[in-house]
Amino acid sequence: ERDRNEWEIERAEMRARIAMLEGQRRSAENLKVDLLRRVKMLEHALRQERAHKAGG
Amino acid sequence: MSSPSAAQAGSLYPIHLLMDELKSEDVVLRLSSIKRLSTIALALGPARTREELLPFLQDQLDDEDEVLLVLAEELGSFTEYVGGKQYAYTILGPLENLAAVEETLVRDKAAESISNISKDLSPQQIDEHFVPLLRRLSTGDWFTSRTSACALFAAAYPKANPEAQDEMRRLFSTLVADDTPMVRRAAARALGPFAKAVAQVPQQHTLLLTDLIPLYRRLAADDQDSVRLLTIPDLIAFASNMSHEETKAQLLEPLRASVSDKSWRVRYMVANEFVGLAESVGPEIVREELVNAFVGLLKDQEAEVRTAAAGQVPGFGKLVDPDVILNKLLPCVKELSNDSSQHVRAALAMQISGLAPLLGKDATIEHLLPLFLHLLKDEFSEVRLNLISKLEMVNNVIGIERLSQALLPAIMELAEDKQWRVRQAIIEYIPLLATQLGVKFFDDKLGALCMSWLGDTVFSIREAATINLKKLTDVFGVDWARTTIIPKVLQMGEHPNYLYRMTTIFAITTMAPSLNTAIIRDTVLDASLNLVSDPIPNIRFNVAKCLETLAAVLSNDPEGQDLVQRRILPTLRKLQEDSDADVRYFATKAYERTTGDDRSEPMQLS
Repeated sequence: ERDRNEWEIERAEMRARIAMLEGQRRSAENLKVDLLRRVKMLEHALRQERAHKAGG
Repeated sequence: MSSPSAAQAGSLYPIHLLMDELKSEDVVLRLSSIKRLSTIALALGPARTREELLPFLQDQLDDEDEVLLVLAEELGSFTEYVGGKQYAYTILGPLENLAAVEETLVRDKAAESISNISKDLSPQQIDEHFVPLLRRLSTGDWFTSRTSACALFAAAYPKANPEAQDEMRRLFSTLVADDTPMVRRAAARALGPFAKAVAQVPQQHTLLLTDLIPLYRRLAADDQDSVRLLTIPDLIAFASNMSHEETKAQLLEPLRASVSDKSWRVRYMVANEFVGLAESVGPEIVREELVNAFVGLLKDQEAEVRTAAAGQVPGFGKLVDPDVILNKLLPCVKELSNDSSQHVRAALAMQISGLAPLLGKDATIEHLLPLFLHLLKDEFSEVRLNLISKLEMVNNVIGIERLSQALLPAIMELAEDKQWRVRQAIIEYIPLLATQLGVKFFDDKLGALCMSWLGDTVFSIREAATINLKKLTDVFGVDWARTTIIPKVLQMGEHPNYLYRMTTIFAITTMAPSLNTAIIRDTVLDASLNLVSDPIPNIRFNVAKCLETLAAVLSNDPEGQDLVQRRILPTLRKLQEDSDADVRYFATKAYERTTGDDRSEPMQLS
């Protein structure tokens, strides 16, 4: 009985851990998307500025 | 509906990108987005940051407090992204809104950022942008904006035009007279810095007296004690910016009122800031007023006040004559050493040593030493510890000879106390005492004491004594250990009672990490190998444990490794064939650890 309980507790802890790691992974993924978009934006701004300089 | 490519191009515009990011469900993402707000501003360039980004942020207030906090912080260092100091005022808009939100942390951060930025403004910009902002915040409907306003005066005041300064002083006085105690508290907190700012401006010294002192008096007489207690730092700020005569004329009366305030929290504040207060008001007032006030605080009925006052004793002692210390302060200190609260006594014990340099040798011996000895016998261990940890100061004044004469009997008495907990307490302080008193004194007087503990009847004392030996080795060095401690420890290995022999083994095991190869080879190794054939199995398996520790120390250099191979391993092998199961177990364990083929059980995977 006691072993079974321990096993249950361990299992629950593991599940919680998995959920936490999955959450972290998802947020890291989203963050990466956002950062990529920022890089793109900066590239865009840089390109525009260069064009502006060349033009003016 | 825009075509996909147009939408994509749109999302490349920094503002749209920021909007998208701020729409995210995830707070962490919004946070990281705001944290890198400077990237957006950089991409936009100064002009568009001012025209597009700041107006957008102006209304961006319906977010979590965490996000707003970061926003307030970021905006504080945004000057370079809006085009330098001449445009710094444009950041004030969003910050003003942040300074009015409900969460205190956000408001404080916003106020801090506004103060930062206001330092970069020109007098004209202060007139045009900052003063109106101050006016709006100070007369806001909610107390939140008025509270934030209080902290903003000091930074901008010295740079403002005289008319603007005039208005700022007026606004501040309305805040001091606010209905809500929250705002009055904030005003009391800001009054000191504001007074300093006014004092910085040339030719405004009289304003300090005519305009600001009345504000201080008003707050110091507030009916809320939480407001009154915040005026103590203001008092220091005023006093240090005024001449001593002015202080005496203007501040004496509120000072007296604070010292005898009916709320103990105010008196606690006074006691806590007492040295700063005494330094700022000048020697005359100290002599005439503060000495008696301090005596009053030391005798206060609240233990917290007495604790705070006790902490200020040496600091205040520096500011008065030795006569005053002897006649006025020492009687109170004596009383405090018998105080019913242990915290008061602990605070006193921490500080009392500081009086020794002030009193000089003779007075210390005559008046302080008895108090010392009394506190050393205190039942509360923190009192004793605080006292012993500051012994060095007294040592410098009266010299080691006198100190040891006075101290030693007390220590001896405690070391032989009937209660083993008392003995243990004093053992724990021995390494600290030894560092302060020096090796010579220790060898003369305390060495024998430390050895006698090894033969104590209580195990905990013997254990503490072995740990003590290790600490002493760390303090005085291995050579000292070799000549002083080790011979005596080894001698005990031949004692007829097996418990003494066991202590030898324990002492060696504990000290081993502090010793080096040469000493282990010459002294302790032989002794521990001799005990291998002890008739008591208990000793034998502890030898096995001890050898394991020794081997770990020895394996640090080639000569030691050779010793391990030649002497320790054969012995352990012999012990593995012992008749006693425990001895075999520990010997095997030690052998495996030492040779490195310690095959721990494979982890059970479910």
